[in-house]
Amino acid sequence: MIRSVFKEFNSLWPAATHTSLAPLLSQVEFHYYPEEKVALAAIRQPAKCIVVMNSGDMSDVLSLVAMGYQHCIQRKRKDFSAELLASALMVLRPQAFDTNPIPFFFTGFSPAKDASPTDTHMRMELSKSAEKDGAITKLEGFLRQNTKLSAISELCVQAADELISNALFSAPVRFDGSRLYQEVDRTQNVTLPPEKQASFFCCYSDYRVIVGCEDKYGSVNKHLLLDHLEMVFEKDKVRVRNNSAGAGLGLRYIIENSANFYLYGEKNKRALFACGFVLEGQKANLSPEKHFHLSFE
Amino acid sequence: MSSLECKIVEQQVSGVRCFIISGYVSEHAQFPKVEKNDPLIIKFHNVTGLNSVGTRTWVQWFQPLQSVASVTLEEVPSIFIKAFNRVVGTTIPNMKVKSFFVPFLSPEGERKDILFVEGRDFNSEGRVLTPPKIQDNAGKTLELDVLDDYFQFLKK
Repeated sequence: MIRSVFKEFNSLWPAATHTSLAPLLSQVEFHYYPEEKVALAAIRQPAKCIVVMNSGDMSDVLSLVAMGYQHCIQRKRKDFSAELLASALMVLRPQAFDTNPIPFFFTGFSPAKDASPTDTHMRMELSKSAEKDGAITKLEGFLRQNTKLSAISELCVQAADELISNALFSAPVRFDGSRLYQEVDRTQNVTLPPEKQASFFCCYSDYRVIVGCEDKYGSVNKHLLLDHLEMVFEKDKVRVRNNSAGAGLGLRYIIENSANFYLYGEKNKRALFACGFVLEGQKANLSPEKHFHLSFE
Repeated sequence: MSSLECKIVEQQVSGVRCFIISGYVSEHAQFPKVEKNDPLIIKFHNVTGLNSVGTRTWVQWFQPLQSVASVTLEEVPSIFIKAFNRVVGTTIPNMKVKSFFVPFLSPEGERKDILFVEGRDFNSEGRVLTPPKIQDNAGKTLELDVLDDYFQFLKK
């Protein structure tokens, strides 16, 4: 008998929703961190279990991800209930990532029927690094249309820049898995084939902004990624990398700027990096309590 | 100038060499050579962004300025302040920040950047004096929208 999300947290959602939520959320297990560290170490299918964090920093999150946990969410955050629900749905229906142009949890849990641009949603396909400036400029304009976004637009733009650079320079690989452009100077133009173009998007609701970029290579390696994250989050201050084309700061900027981080990787198929920003100013986003989702298929 | 261009203009201010940095500091930013060790002023004006490679470019340009007699920074935007606090090498011992921007947040979630000036808002030892009370046009008080370590860079 598992200790289910529904049993422990059903009071977080309106009673009227319990009939529909109970069959789903009763199937999803969770454990508290750090109080249940021992139990977490013994879970057989960590990918199916949500970690509810009462405390802990990025190194704790990275340790949990290394153990196979995919959803580490912060109990103290105001949006805990929404993120818990989203995490449970991701555990139960990961295939929704495949069929939905913008993953369901980015759009208030309702499947996006139409991926065409709207006032609250922009998307841009990128095949050349020279297009990055245009995407950033477009994002700046998109965020300017709503004054509530002014407090966090700087964080969003900085993260977006890094997400796009990652998709264009770091993600592309040859058939043998070697990186095509990782060591190309970032001022040089690189071009991806049409079937491999990256997809950059941003959308917002009354509560948050999501910025993301999907590449069609799926080349992100979980172990290398975790090693890199451990290195860049090891100390309060990070060192720039001088011996490579990238500066080695991108992921730290992305994660540090945002309240939520999402990575969904399908090997040799695609990788979706995204981050979420709450509309409560910079401080709320920069604070160390971050929801962290890292799934590899 | 497009919003993503980085422009650096050189001027003389009371006989002191001054660089005015504006725009988006990215991989395309090109900082000028500094060959003399005379005092220097770096003033920021309408800086719209800073990315990771721009940060490295700044570090590579800024570190050798330790040999300059003094480096005074004025009107430093918050995106650089955050880099000062999170990235090694973005500051140097002989730099002095005369003024910098601090983000405030209105009850409606709008941002307002307030310029903190040495002598008025912080002292030469790097201690922040009582933060100013900022109000919007409707008289509502704005909240300081930074983490506690935002002012860390002021401490020597």
